[in-house]
Amino acid sequence: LSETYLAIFTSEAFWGSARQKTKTPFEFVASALRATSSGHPFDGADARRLNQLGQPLYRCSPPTGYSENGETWLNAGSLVTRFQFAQHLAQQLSRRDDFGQMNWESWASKSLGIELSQSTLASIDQEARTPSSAGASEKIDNVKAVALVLASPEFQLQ
Amino acid sequence: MSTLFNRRDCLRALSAFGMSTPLLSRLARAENREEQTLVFIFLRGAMDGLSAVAPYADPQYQQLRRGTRLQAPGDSVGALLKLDGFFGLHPALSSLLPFYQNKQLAIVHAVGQPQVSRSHFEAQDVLELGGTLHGAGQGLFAKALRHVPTEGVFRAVALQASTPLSLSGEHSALTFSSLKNLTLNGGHGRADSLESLYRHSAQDVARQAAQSALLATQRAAAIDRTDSGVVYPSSALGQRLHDIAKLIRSGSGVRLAVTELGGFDTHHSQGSSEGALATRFKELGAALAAFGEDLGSQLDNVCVIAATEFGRTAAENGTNGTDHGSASAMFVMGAGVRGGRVIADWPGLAPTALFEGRDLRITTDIRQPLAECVERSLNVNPMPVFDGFRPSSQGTLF
Repeated sequence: LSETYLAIFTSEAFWGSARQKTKTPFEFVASALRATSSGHPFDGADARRLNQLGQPLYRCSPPTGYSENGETWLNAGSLVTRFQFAQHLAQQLSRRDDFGQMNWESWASKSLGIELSQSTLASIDQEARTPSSAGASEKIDNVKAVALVLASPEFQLQ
Repeated sequence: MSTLFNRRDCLRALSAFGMSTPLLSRLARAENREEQTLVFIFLRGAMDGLSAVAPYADPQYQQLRRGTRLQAPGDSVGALLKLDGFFGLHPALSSLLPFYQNKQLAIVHAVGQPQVSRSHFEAQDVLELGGTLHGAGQGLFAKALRHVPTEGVFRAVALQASTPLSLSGEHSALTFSSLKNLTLNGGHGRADSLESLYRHSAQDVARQAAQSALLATQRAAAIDRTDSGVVYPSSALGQRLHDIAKLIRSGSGVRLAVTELGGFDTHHSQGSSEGALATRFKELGAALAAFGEDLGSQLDNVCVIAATEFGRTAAENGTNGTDHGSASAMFVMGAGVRGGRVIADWPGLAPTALFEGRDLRITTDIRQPLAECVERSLNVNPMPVFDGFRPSSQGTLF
């Protein structure tokens, strides 16, 4: 067995496939809750969210278990639901006192444990800048930025 | 349909050569089928078919039912509505009577899933998986949609809280609670943020999903604004059928719409012409009637099924309710169904006729009418959809 493990862990294919796999709804919901350290226990609303995303808890029908295939989990409908959940969590996070002073980029790098690509960072930056009226300084919409980070392509991967 | 052979082009070519008559009209009819829609309303909780469509002329009915009994059609308040001299429609379903009389609504009775347990979960799962718990967990509609050539973000929708098992394995299905809620901007920000976020994603699947999500939400907003002026009941089912009608009338390309109505598990205080079950029937009837009125002549291209997982015991229990049984009734409306009929090989309610001495016996396998509807409106061979079940070539519905 140890030889098998050694072969697996030293293979390029093993390390090359890191962070390529799409999170299942459960992994997405759990990691998003953790990233926003909402502290609230997993409740009925979260369970309903999982139902909507197609992974009802303890109600997997096929004996083969839930799919390991990204195509099963990432489609237009589930992306809308994931984005709505991200917006919901961002709203919750915004109730914290220090939310206004927060820098979303450093929050993302601290709490996610993943790196966002340059294009994602640029895209979020652009979307989160509220159009400034003449003379006013540009403001960053943190709620929107946090929601987009949680909805980003990178955050959908394990 | 493969891209090599497009019916529309073919028709055009054939008519250019002066070809006509049988072949052409057959092709034209087939073409029309690509605009048909199947609407499936799952009545969850096991609907009492003996109350929805009561066999008042069966001599045993009066004895088996006391507190839930409905009066034979006549002038008395709360009496059944006359259907065919043997069966009567529950008075709370009165809004469906005009569709029955117009022959747009058919009822199948003593219908059910043979050899399925009386557990709601198992029976619902088996129905939604097309008659089997084995196989790869592919929903019956997921299996059917594999052979439906229509593309587009709204080809398969589920208007309910969660994606139903009947659509599991279908990646293109969109689940949403209402068109109004199918939105990406949640009242603030721009809806296309998500799309720009995924524009450079290395994953094709993710990029396409984001594009479809944007398209779906943009179109949902426009479709939601269309309104025919028909008044729907404010019930959840009414609002969902309203959204489905909007999708159909706006030419969104919807081929399949699934929704559900719960609350049929009437173990106690079931009521008769009024009460808990009557309230459910009223919700179902009023919503379906508004839907039918809204679609008007377009109902000919829409096949609506309202079916349940199993029926209830022939006799009442001690709490003025009924328990889990076998056969029930189902409704099929539109799509040129030969309506105005209660289709039943009636087994009777005599003690010896009852299944296991307690339930209305199943004489029609529910896969038969379901298969006919799937074939009719999705133009799909139903055999693989229903796990090899071979429907009788003598159709009962159309």
